[in-house]
Amino acid sequence: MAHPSPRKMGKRGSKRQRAGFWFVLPAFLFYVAFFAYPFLSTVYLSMTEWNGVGTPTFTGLTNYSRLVQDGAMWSALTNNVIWVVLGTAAPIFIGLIISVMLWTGAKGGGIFRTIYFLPMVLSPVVIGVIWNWIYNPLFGLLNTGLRNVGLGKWAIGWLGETETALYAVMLTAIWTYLGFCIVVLYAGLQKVDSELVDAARIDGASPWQRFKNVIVPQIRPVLTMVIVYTVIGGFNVFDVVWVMTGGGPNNSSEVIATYTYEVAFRNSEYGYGATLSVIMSLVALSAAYAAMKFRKAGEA
Amino acid sequence: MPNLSYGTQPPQCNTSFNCNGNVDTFAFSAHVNVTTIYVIPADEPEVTQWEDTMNKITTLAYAGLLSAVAAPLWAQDVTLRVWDTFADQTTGMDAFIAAFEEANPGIKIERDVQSIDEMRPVLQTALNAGTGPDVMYYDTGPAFAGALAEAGLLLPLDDMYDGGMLDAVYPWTRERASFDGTSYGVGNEVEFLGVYYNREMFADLGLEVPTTHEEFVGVAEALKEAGNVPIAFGDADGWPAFHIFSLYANNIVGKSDLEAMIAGDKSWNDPAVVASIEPFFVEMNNAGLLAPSVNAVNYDDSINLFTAGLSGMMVTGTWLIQAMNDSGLDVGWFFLPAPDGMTTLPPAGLGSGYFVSKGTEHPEEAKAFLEFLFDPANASYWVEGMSVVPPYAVDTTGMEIAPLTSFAMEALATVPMGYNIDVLTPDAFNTTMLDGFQAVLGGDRTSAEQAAALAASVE
Repeated sequence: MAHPSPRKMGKRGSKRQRAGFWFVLPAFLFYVAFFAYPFLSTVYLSMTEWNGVGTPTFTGLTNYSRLVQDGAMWSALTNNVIWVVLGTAAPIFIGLIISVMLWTGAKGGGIFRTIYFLPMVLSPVVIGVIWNWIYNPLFGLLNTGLRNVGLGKWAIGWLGETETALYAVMLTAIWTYLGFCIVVLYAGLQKVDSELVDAARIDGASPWQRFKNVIVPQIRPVLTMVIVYTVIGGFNVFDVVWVMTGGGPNNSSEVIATYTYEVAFRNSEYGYGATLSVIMSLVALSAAYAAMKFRKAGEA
Repeated sequence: MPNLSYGTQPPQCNTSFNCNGNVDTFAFSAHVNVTTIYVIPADEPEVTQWEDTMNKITTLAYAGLLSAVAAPLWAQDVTLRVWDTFADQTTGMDAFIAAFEEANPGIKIERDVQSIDEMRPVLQTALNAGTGPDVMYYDTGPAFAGALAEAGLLLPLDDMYDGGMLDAVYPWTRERASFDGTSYGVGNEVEFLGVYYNREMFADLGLEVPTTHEEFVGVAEALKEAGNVPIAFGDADGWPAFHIFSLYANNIVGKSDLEAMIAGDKSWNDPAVVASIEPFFVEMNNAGLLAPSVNAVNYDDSINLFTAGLSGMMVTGTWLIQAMNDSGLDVGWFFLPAPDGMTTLPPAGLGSGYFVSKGTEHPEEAKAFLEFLFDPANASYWVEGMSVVPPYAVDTTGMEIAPLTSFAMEALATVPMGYNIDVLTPDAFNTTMLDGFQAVLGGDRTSAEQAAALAASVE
């Protein structure tokens, strides 16, 4: 059987490449129009002073210099870091425990999975409004319950106190995100080799040792995906905070996204708002990259 | 050839019948419903059949040509795109617009109702892109309409004011919608701030309307002792504090100094400003005279507290008159009294104003719309239909209006008014008010620190 000459293969390869180019082109144009161009425009705007109307004035790195000295930005970023740490650790930790319990054959697993996942189906705005009612200091379910069981002293304005507002909102987000973690981790657990778990049990490994040394390593890719997703979400969080507290009181629950919105749309400082957006993107990407590297290092 | 004359009077005859045995009269229905062109022969010389045929053809040609020209000129309605924020009074505004369309056949209004928070981020972009409204109802402040005017996106309306189309409008409202000496809008919703109170509750407890700040505190304490929330005030939204500060600053700082501070000629870091912050945000809050967990209670909850009869007073503005009228409570009103020895000066301002896009293709129709809206002959649409106080003196004879609305209109004409600060100050100042007063209410900032922060925000 005659083999095609390298020259012919080259021609055919070139043809296939051209065909491939045309197939890829629509997606590429879509990417350029809706991601690359807006992102580059934002980078340009971040180096301008612009009130949203008229022509932006190029100011170089002035906005970045201002950003370094902006206490409100650092406060918001600190809240984001708290959010990322607690908001990632809590749902994953709790989700892992619940999904392992479901995986080990708990009765009614399907029903529980559905119930846990339900909050993910709701709009964050709806969730924010519902939890606002729950936290309402006058008529809310939480304070009414506390008063009814004799804990009236604890019935405070959860969203109105600077010490509790961020954590009250975060609890809402954790409740929402928990279902997602459970469903994804439960799916990952389906690939765990139960023979390895049984072998470890026979070898005398304790439940914790089996969990830590046998189960977790097998679901590490899924775990990494959930962590990366949560970390990026933690840096980009906006809707639930905006609906529940608007970043208040006195900026105590402000995160970078709500601060960016306020700067751009309330103060009409679109240039500086773009600077904050660029920084937010870079921080989120860096954190996600670090998480992936960390996972690879763990696998090595 | 017959002499032909053209007119727009309805023809007495048409081609379907002959009006006069020896005279041919033609009428041509244009394919538009605006007008009918007809032809009346003058003298009747003898004509041959050939000439007669040619005359008819020529006439037809003229008429066809005219129809073609007339169609685009007269047939199409002009549609004005109007963005407004009258979500709560949408029925009243729809009726107002219907009346305008009836009075101005050929002009249609395409109305888009939005909240001001929705409109703010998109309006500038839409106007810049040429996809925005022809007429918009927008904040009159320097940071809002002022920014649009500065960017050249608004149509100057000086000709309307100078040409007598807006003669009835109060001059001060024109000033509030003018920037750099040019008038760009017509301010509307004249509002002022004060205190709603539950008359029945006051009567049951034997309380009188306070005339000094000290009496006001006494009334609040009495309401608290009776187990009520004395003042339905919550600041979760941040902006309700703007109005409290305006009320106290007008009473304590005084009009001329406040005017100088707003203009940037005097610092906000002033003992009188500190004294304006302290009584309500610190003393009354610490005394438990406001809603509990004040930073967690939003404006809607404050309204609910008051209208549910759980609170004796609510400090806010006349824009709630409609809600108070509808609440079923016996609600009264008094101006927040100044401390003993000082003059009570209630803050007044404009809710928003109408502006016209510079890029509109229909400036004359837009002006006609504004003229109709602010014609005193149409005041009942604002007052009766929407409980809105328009920017001119209203003759309420024959109108069915609630006592609160009537009181507000009378007060505007008779009581000296001060400034509603937040509509006149820049964004940075308002942001400092928003965050800073929450901090003061939360005990995280002193009144003096807040006064200093306000000053720093505009330096």
